[in-house]
Amino acid sequence: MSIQPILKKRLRRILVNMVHCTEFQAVVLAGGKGSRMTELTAGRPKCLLPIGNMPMIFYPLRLLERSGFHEAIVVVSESAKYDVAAAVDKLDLEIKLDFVGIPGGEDLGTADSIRLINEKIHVDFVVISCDLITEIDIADILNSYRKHNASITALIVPAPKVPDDFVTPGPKSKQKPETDLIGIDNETGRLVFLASASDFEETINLSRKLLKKHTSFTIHSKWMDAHLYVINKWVLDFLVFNKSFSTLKGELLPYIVAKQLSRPPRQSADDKNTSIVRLDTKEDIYRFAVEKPLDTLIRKMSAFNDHNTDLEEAYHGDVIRCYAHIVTGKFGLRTNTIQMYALANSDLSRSTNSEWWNTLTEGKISVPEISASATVKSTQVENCRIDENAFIDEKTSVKQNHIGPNVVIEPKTRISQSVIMGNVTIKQRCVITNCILCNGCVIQEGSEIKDCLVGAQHIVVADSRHCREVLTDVDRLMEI
Amino acid sequence: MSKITKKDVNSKLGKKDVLQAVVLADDFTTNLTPVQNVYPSILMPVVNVPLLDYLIETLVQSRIQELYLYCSSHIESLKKYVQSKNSDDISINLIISDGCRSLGDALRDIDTKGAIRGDFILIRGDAFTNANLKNLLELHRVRIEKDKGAAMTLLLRDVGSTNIPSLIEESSLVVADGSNNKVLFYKKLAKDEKKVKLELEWFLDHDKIEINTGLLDTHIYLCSPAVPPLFSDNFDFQTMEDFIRGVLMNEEILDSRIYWQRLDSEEYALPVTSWRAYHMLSREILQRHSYPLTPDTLSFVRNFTYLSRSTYRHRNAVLARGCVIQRDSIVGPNSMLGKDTFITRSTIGNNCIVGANVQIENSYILSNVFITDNCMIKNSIIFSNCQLDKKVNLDACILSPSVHLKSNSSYVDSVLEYESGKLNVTKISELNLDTDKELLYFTCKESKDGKDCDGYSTDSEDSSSEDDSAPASPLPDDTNMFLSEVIDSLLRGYQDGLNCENLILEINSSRYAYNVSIREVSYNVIKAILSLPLHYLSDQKSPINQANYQSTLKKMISYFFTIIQNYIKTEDAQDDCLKAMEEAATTIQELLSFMQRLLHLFYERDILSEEKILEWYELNGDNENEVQSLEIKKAVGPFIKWLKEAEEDSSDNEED
Repeated sequence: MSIQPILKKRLRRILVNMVHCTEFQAVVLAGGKGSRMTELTAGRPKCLLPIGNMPMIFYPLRLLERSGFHEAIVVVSESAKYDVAAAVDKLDLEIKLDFVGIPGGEDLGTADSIRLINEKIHVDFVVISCDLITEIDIADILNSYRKHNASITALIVPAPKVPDDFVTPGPKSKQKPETDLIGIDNETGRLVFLASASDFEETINLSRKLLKKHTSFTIHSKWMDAHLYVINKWVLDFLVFNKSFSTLKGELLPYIVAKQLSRPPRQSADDKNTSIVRLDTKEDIYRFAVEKPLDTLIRKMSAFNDHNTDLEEAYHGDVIRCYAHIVTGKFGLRTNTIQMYALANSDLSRSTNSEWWNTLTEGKISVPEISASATVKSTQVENCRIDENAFIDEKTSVKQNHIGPNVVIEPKTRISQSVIMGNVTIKQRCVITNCILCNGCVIQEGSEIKDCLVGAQHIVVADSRHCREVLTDVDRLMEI
Repeated sequence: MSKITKKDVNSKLGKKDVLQAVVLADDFTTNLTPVQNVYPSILMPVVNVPLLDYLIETLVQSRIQELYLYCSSHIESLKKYVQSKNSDDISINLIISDGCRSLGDALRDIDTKGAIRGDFILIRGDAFTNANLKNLLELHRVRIEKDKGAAMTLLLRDVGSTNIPSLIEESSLVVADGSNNKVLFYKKLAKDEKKVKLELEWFLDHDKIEINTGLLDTHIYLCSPAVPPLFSDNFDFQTMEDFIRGVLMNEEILDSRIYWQRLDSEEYALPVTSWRAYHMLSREILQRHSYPLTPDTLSFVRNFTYLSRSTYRHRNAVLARGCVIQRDSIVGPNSMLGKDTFITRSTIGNNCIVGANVQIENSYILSNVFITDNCMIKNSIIFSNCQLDKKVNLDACILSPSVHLKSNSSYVDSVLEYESGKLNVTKISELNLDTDKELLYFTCKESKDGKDCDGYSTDSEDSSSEDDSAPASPLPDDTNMFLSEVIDSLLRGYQDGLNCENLILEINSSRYAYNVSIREVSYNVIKAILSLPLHYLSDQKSPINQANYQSTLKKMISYFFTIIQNYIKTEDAQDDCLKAMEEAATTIQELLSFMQRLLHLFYERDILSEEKILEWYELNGDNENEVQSLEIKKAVGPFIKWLKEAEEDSSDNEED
């Protein structure tokens, strides 16, 4: 008789554990093809590009792990699913990962990807892009999200400053960096305006309502949206319902930010029988943005107000609330262009003991500078990371490089400030400065290349000289 | 030799340290009719003290040593005033220039007279503040050190988001560099502006751009010596707005920049730009927002006591028994209030005599006013030396000085002044036409206050509707929409001679679009047909009269007969049809006399049955209290009578 209640209790506990009782879920978007850095990504998923000899995806995953996430959903393209899973397995992370493949061929946007996995998300969630390299503690962002019970909280970091002496490998690009225009209320930290500078031609129109509601706000042009969002569950429901959004940053977020200014439709009580039909068919965000009764009660009873000059209620009575969480003074960038990719690598190679690397890994993950299985005969090795089975012959000089697995460097070669991916062969008497050599390429005898990109499997012929070029097979680029 | 040079250096040093302020005695743009005929705006009494007194107090507190008072009108009164002042802490110099018409003229004049040696504070004649100007001037100097071209710092008070219409009107949009407060764009927003256009360049050239809307120009400007020459060089600068706009547009050419500075939150400032602002300033001084500039703390007005509910009383004021001063009021020295007099939200100046049982609300009574018993004064301004005889009733009036009103007179919404010995009464609402602003504070108080907020919320709805999914415009009643749709369809059908079958289809589709029940359909179709002749006739531009209406209706009924037949089939539909006819007859006069023929027509054509008509008639008789239903009853009486007789006949026939 007495066993039954105990059993019941246990059963209940098991059930509680089975049902998702976490507060936040995490989604890592790693399905990107690297459209802004096609020279590098030909033939391999962007999220596996090495940064400091770790695949790019390591950084966001470690970030999540460090903030206490036990599980995460990783969205990758179906074709790369096994590669990524295998690569991540090697990283020895504790976080439990659920890889979801996006059916190949379809070029899905970030919002589309989220929509695809909506059935796996049951609570508010964090979306993080695989190219975010940072040491920022996500817990702070979550706190700022909780504080205002936001709809979306976005992480805003200063746009990374490129040092004057830094030269991006490859030809001088005329590609202007994207500028985000981010408007933040000075008093409340509300995200009130979000757009890309390229959306405008000469003038920006601000609505009177925005000016009236937020009497003092600042629009920043030197900050960027880091593509780390904490998103309320109802936004996901809205996203699933409204299929017209395909990206988060470009479409959904600006839409929701703008929607903060609108008011929920008034419920007209008199014509019940006629209006119900309409409301259901209307694609209205306020069908989803509904304050929970308990929250309403709390808000009504609380004396808290986020602004003080007028007599409006807290948050102006808005249910849709977007906030910016600003972090300055920490390392943070998105490696979605060659420049940023090179910058991240060079930052790590300048000193082997980078501060942010230590914060991120908390010393738990120590990457040996020189892998045990590597053979290094050279006497001039300085600030390098050398991966498994690399072979560096004698009479070579390697300084501030990342050298991938199975790389062969033959004698009388000098290499500095470069990223050398896996299976690269560099023959004798080469001089390589500030280059990115993609996997499998071969540099033949006596070549001197400076500030160049060498595409995957490309063969640089002997005794050639190149400066600020992209060296790759033409048809390979065409493929993309 | 050496002695002289030393002296020179000394005097130079000494002079440089002297902080100067230029006060324009007239503002040229204020809208305080008819004050300009009485005082220069700087001498306008606020809570019984001229504005200039407050200003001098602030300047002395801020250690400003030299004050230049620029006079362009009422020079005598200003001279007299300055003579009476002679304070040790500050030297007041008059710059007299008759016939100066704008702020630009004044500054050009100051430039030619060369009185300004260093940085100075420019104060327009309607400014009021308690801020520490010295600290602010220091900030301005720091700015000049960084940027030699810093010409001016605007002092702005942050009023935040507010619903007070006068503040909203006065506050301006300031777009500035967030790192150093350099102004890029400055504009007072017009009410109807829905969008503000800003240059993309600004955002790209600066790390952060601060956009502020709730900023109120205090009419106090911290200027570098370059400002007067700038006015001289640009003859088109008339007002301060011209100057700011001109400098911002030609920043490069003029090599001058404008900065802005926010007042501390505890510092108060409000320019008296209108009667509304005057009203607000008086209230807020009484409620001590402007501390230490309050009646009981000012050094030059003594012996005021601060009482509960923001009321003040001078020691020499005499209040008779039963006299009530409710709230936000002040009674000046040597004033006497009679028995049972009631005062709220008003100021009473010096030497006023108020009789018994007088009511004064929301009003400003300046000095030496004589008010006799039983007067009612609401929302009015009474200048000095006026006399009101018994039982004068004033609401929303402005009385010029020395106006004498006879007993039992009553005025609403007027300006009263003497013109060549005669009392001249002008309606305020007529005065407003050219200024398009509310002249008095109270006209907005009751009616506009609420409306204004609403106005904002509605325009906001509009602006949000631009981003695709429309917000809730109040749903127009679906059935009404349906009705108008049906009228449209029928009218078009009649004009173009469309087939009735098609029209039925159209009506049915409208019915589903608006989700209207079948009974409402029959009701509305009949209603539509009966009102159709009106639409048709007005479309044809032919006069609407009985004969016209009836003939068209007849034609239409025969034309639309299929439709009527289609919808009026059941007994319920007949009920609806009769109801619609009744409803239409009450609104369309022309139909009333036609009712009985219409009933007859429907009866003959088997649309309405005899029983239903009689039933309706009996039921209709029940609510006899309604005049209209009685009229209808009267109008159809003969037909009913005939019907009843016919019934008997037919029953006879059947028996045969």
